[in-house]
Amino acid sequence: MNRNKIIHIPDLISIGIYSALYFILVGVAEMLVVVIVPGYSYSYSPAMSALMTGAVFMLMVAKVPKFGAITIMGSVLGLFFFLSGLFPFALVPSVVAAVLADVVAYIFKYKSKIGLLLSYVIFSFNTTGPIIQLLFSPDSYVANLKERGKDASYIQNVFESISNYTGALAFVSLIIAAIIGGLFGQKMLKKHFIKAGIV
Amino acid sequence: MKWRFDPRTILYLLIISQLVLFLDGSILMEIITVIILIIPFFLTRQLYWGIGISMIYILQLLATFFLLPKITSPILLYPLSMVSNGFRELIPGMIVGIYAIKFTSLGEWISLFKKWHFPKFFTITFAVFFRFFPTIQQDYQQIRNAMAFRGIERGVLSFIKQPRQTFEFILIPLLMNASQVAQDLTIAALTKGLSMPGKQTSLIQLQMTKFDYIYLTASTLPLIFTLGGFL
Amino acid sequence: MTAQAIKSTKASFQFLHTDNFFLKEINLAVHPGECVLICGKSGSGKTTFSRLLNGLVPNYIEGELTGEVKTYNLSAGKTSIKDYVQVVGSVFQNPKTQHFTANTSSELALPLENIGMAPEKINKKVTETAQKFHIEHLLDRDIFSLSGGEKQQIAMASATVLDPQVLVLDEVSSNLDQEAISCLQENIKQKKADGTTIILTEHRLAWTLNFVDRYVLFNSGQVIKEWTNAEFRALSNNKLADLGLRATDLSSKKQAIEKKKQIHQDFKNDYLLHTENLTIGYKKTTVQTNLGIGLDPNKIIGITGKNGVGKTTLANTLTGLLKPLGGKILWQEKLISAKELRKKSFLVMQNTNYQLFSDSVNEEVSLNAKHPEWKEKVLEQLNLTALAKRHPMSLSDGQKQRVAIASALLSGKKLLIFDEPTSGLDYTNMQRFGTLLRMLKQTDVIIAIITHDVELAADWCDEIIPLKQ
Repeated sequence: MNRNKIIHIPDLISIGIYSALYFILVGVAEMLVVVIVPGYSYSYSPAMSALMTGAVFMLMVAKVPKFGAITIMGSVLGLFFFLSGLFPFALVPSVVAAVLADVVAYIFKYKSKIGLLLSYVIFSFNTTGPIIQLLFSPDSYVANLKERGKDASYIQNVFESISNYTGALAFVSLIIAAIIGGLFGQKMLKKHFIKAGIV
Repeated sequence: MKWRFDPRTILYLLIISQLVLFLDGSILMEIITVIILIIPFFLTRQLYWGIGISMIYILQLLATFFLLPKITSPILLYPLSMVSNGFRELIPGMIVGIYAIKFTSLGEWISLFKKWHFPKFFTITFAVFFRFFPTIQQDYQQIRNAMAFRGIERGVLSFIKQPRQTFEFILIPLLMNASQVAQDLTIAALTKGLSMPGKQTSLIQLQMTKFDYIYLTASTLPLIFTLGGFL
Repeated sequence: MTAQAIKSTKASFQFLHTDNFFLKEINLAVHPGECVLICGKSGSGKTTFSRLLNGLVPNYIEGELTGEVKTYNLSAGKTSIKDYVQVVGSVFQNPKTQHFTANTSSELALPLENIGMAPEKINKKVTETAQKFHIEHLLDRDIFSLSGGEKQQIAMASATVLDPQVLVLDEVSSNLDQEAISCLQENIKQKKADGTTIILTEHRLAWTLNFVDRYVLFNSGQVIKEWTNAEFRALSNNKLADLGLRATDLSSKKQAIEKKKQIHQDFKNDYLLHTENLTIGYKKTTVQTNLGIGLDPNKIIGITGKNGVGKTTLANTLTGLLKPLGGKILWQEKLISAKELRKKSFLVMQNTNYQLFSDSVNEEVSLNAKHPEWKEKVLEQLNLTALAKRHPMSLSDGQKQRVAIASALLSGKKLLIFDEPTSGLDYTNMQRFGTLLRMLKQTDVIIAIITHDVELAADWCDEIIPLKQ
């Protein structure tokens, strides 16, 4: 087997470090979103994350252009999400998105800019676990209001419409943000890391 | 009192906390589960966490039952229900998460992963991932200082005025340094045998204690009662 | 004669993608139990050679090796790195980036875990090793909370936990203060007494005299000269300087420092900036009280003191990152606030990577420049003109440092503080830095240097402020 195609210890160390930076940026993005508008604005945190993490992803792929790297990154992130207890089911979209992103990057041989951008957009879905969980969990509070004998049908309508609307918008904004974030990442890669000879 | 959960217990508690969320049973089940989960903070004198989370949880409960029913404006109701109701349901998971990340060492998790024969490519990456957080924090502080000396704005305002630029100024040195550390760490790790084939052993030997068994049982009871229709 | 521990025969090495051999026909034999120090300028090939001994070159750092380098029966390039693990232990320069775990005990256990030792044995071995190095108090601690010296001791213990026959120490003292160096020295002597073969590469030489058997001088990838310990001791500081090496006899330097101590006096007329009863610290921790010190553009001032005595806190206070906890800082006899100080001052960090933000030297020095018209001149003075288009991160450490200085000068800074600017520098580069200081002294900028480098303080500082507990 070609030595340069399989993942070695040095690659794992790079992946671990970039994953940590990725995670921190996701954390910062989520904080920003929650602080700016509390409540359901939370659904836009994947979009905010995608806007910020492009450079880390692009640098990671440039450093370790091997099949499996993106998958390992997604799995480590997913497991950490799982352990953090907030959204354990984030593990599933994390791993699925990472595997798909890896396959796309592989098809484009980890070189094509468009291919990597597409790969990044797919990878960005790894942070959607929490919102999927929140959006599709039963609207217990509506039930709750009903139980307490309040005329909640009007409110329920509003909730549902916002809920559907939010879900669609969250995903559309995520894709747009990932494209912008990915392009920004590629620009940073060229402007700094290629020029400095780091990659 | 000094004891800690075995990582296996934590994994079990994580699952319990999610079942509580999914079953969406009575509020009583949720409250009992939260109380059971929060007790160890007090037993181990982690009052900061114990009291802090209790307060948040109580506020959320009060808001859900006394404030929400009084609000009719959907614009207000919507975010408030999210904070007091949606986020409240996450509290059990959050508590277990704190045990998992804050009160369980990297060594214990790695020991479990090795025990369960996780592939090396995963355990090594996870170990580096965990170890790198303090480095990011230190680097970030240094970069903030450096920005101050250069007269580069770094407050909240600068993120609003020129978000891309400010972000770039912080991100690039972070990534540059990360790449440097990756190389140094690799060199050191290779000389310490990280690339050795064969099974790796562990200094830390995991051992379930009485406490773990008590918690495995206690945390399951509210669920059983709910499913049995008692709660 | 028994088999050699290390035997290099006509070893030449060329890095991947380069045209010339970096190491040229190196012949060197080290017998078991011997302690050999390789000295020489930066770029002379010391570190690369040391990495041939632990298998990192050419296995991880790729290139072409001709000739043969043997460490016992392992042959560089032919033997895989993993076979070196139990034979050679290695410690590196930077204490912050060589620990793999976050906990000291785990770090000591790591090599044992990797070879698959039984858990009970690991525990025993970790304890034994810690006892041997007198670092039991460091066990089961968060590595990030340790000082640089303590981290280096952990690195040393972790490198020897497998009882390797050979120990490679690559510039391990660079970032350490005197006290930490003496701890490390004890650990090295201990290993030598055990019969371990030890290879060091070092710039600082004075601390090595009482355990090194043989000194080897490298220059441009070749072995130039060898001395026994006695012969090396006999070399005068001047002779060493001619060879581009640092001093071995620091007593005269220490005397010089003693004479340069800043005497508490009335600073009013002679110092542009001075403090009165200054108390420094962070949050609620007081680090130093009652400080009266003076800084002035006409004097290069060194700030010395043990690790943890408050040098960095003082620098952070003088540059306005921290507010004084008490007392006054006066600039031309006027009270100056932390905010104003921050505008006027600049800290050249030990790791300048943190303070370079742009994608070319040109952009970097122009960023927020108050006097862009000085650019040409400053770049010229700092010998950066030819590098103006390069990315700052592609430069050498010394060049990065000069870019940071240029950026400070162009933003009209009036106070420049250097944090350990010469740690890890060889004699030539230290002297070069000294010359740079002389040049900066001609400007109206105040220069202060935090340093544990005795030679820099003695040779290039005009006054010394020794901080004491």
